Amino acid sequence: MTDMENVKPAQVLLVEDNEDDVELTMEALKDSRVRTYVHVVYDGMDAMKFLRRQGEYADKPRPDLILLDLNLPMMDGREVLQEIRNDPDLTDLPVVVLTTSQSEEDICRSYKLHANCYIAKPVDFTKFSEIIKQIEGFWLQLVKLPRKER
Amino acid sequence: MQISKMVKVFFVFWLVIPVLVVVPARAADQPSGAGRIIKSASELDYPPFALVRSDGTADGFSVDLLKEVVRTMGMPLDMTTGPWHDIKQQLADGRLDVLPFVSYSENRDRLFDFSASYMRLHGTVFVREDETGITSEADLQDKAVIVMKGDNAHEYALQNRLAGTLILTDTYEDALMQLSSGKHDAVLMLQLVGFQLLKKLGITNVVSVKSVRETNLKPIPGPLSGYEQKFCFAVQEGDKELLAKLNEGLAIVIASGMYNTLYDKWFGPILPGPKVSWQQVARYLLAVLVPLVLIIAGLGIWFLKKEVARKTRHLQQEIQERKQAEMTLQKSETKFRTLFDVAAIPMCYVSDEGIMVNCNTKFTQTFGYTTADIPTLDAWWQTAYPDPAYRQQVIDTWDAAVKKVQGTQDSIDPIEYLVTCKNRDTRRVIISGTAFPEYFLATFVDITDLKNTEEQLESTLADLERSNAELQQFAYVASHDLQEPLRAAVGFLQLLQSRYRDHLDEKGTHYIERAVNAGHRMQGLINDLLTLSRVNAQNLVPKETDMTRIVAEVVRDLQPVIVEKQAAVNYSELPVLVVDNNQVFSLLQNLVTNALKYNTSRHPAVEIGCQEDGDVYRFFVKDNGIGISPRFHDRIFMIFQRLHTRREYSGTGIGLALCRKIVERHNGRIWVVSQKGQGSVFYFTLPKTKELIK
Repeated sequence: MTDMENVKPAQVLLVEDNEDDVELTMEALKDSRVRTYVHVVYDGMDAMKFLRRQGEYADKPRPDLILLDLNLPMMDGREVLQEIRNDPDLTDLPVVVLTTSQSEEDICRSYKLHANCYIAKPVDFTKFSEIIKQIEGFWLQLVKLPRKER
Repeated sequence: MQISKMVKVFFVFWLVIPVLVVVPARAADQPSGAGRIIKSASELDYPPFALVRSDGTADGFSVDLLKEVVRTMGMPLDMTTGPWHDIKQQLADGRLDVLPFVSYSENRDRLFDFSASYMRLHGTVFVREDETGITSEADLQDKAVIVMKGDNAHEYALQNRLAGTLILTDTYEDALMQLSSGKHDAVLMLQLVGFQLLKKLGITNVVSVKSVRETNLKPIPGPLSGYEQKFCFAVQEGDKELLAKLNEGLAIVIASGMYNTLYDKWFGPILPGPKVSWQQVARYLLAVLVPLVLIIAGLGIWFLKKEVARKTRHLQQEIQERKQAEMTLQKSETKFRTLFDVAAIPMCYVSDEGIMVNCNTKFTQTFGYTTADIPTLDAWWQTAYPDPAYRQQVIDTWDAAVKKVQGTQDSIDPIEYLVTCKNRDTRRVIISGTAFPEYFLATFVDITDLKNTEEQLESTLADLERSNAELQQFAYVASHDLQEPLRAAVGFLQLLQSRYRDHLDEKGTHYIERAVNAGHRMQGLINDLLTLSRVNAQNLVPKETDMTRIVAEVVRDLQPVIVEKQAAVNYSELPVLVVDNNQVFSLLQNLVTNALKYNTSRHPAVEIGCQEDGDVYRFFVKDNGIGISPRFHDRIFMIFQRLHTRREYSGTGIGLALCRKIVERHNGRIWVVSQKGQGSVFYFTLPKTKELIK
């Protein structure tokens, strides 16, 4: 634990409009072994502002992982994904689509927009918590990602 | 013609009297005279009286006449030719019996005996055509007259002191040419010679003063005035017998008409045509025309009567036919009018002048207008289309449609218009027309009700489409939005369970478990709804699909259950069909799952097969399971309908509803044949698509 505390925490951007889901996700992340700092934005517009560090998000860090819900007010997750992939500064950010939808169409569309993976949230919290742990383990510890000059 | 006939009669009379006197005296000599060969000879060149043919024989008017006279008297003739002075000497010497052509003179009468003169050539005065002052010899007293030097005419002129001045020429050709060219006043010469010369020289402006009255050369009785020559046959002096025969023969030849024939033959081409007087012409015309006119008139009247009778019959027949036709027309007109009036569609005719001729009952029923309301096409435009802008548009459209079919037999295109009725209602009407000569028939199809229904249908369809879309949207949204609170409820309950374990007693933990289970069931229902809505919403993706392979996959997926239940699933060879293979997979998966699930046999047995049935394949999934009472056979295909408690059999009741949906989307049918406790056979049909079957 002491080792981990010296390491800079991983920055996670959670894009989710449902407070319940936000809290459950935070709870699930609490149990994780990785030190994470979770930033939450509640709609797509704010997500883009955060990533581009505009306005109130000017001093926010570049996230190491984005957890993106698809059904969002104003600008939905599909549009956010498209903007990220079209922006040269953001295109290599890992994006995990984390949504309630099991629709084939949503799945196909997300992969076409180069989501790194698509995960349907299960109803069972135990299963959900397990999934969150696996995501963190995989994206924040296992994989090597290109380093970006900050 | 009559003139020459009269002449001939007189001549014969004059000639025959002496002959009749002589004939009895000579009758005794007749036999000896008849056997004698008459020797004669003719001059070489004195046309047309005497000439020599190319074969050397004699020819000419006088020769022909002599031959005819001698032949008539039954005497043989031996005719030779020779120069005039020669043959004249031979006659004087007695070597010849007769010469055919000798001009009479007192000197010659002493040497020969002369027959009656058969021709006289008289002299005449030739003048220019435009000469008016000279009509006879008497008029020559103060004129310049041309004659040939030493000619008889010369002598005659001198003897009678005819001319004011005598101009002498060497030939008559010269004389006539001088006269023709305008020199001097007249030429005195033999008429016949003059005619021949004028013809030969082609002179047309010179005429004989006598030719105005008469152009006959033939002998005429009575004293001859003026200068003339007589031509006769000449015999030896004293040969009275031959002379008598010649005179007799001559009389006969003249009387028989032979003389005329010969005369016409030789002189016809030379002499100018006889001039006929107006009186004679008139007399002729009267004689010929009057009877002719009478005959024609008679014939005409007869023919006319006949023609009138024929025409009358024809007209009567025509009138009859017309009456018949009129009656037929009237009948057909009545028939047409009735048809027009009772026709189920509004119609009217309009003349080419734009007069509304008639409109039928249905027209008045539909629009309220009678012919009195809209007497003209113009009135129709004004009344039926009160809005000026729309009216103009209608008129333009109609005119264009009419123009398009002008001069053809085609109908005027049906076009939709908004017609204002008498009661101010507007009706949607399709107007078309047929042009006939002089008028056109307009037909109206009132589509107001049809259009309203159509609009209603369209609006209903749109509503349905919208509601269907909403329903699909609803199913999708429900699956998401229902799941979120569900997940939150379940999630927090589970958090409560794990984080506050120590604060909960057994009962509390049990309640939480019950709540979480309920949440899971709810999620199952939501997912089933979603699946069902997807079958509806998604487009079918028909592909050539091997049904045997689909069943094999289903069996493979269910292997754990099959093993667990010690079941046997058998299937025969199945056809290849064009279907959505994902959906057909779900269908078979559900049916086979049910067959295994609702089965309490120790060894569940499932059989899958297929039979051809007309244009469909009928599949079956047969089990030895618990069976279904027939009264539930319909209910089981309805959504969320269950026949068992959850404790007996888990499930939401979506499976067969989904199966039915899939089969129906493939234009098939699904049903069950079963009795409680006797197993079930589920049947479904899928259409054949022959061209794609292997």
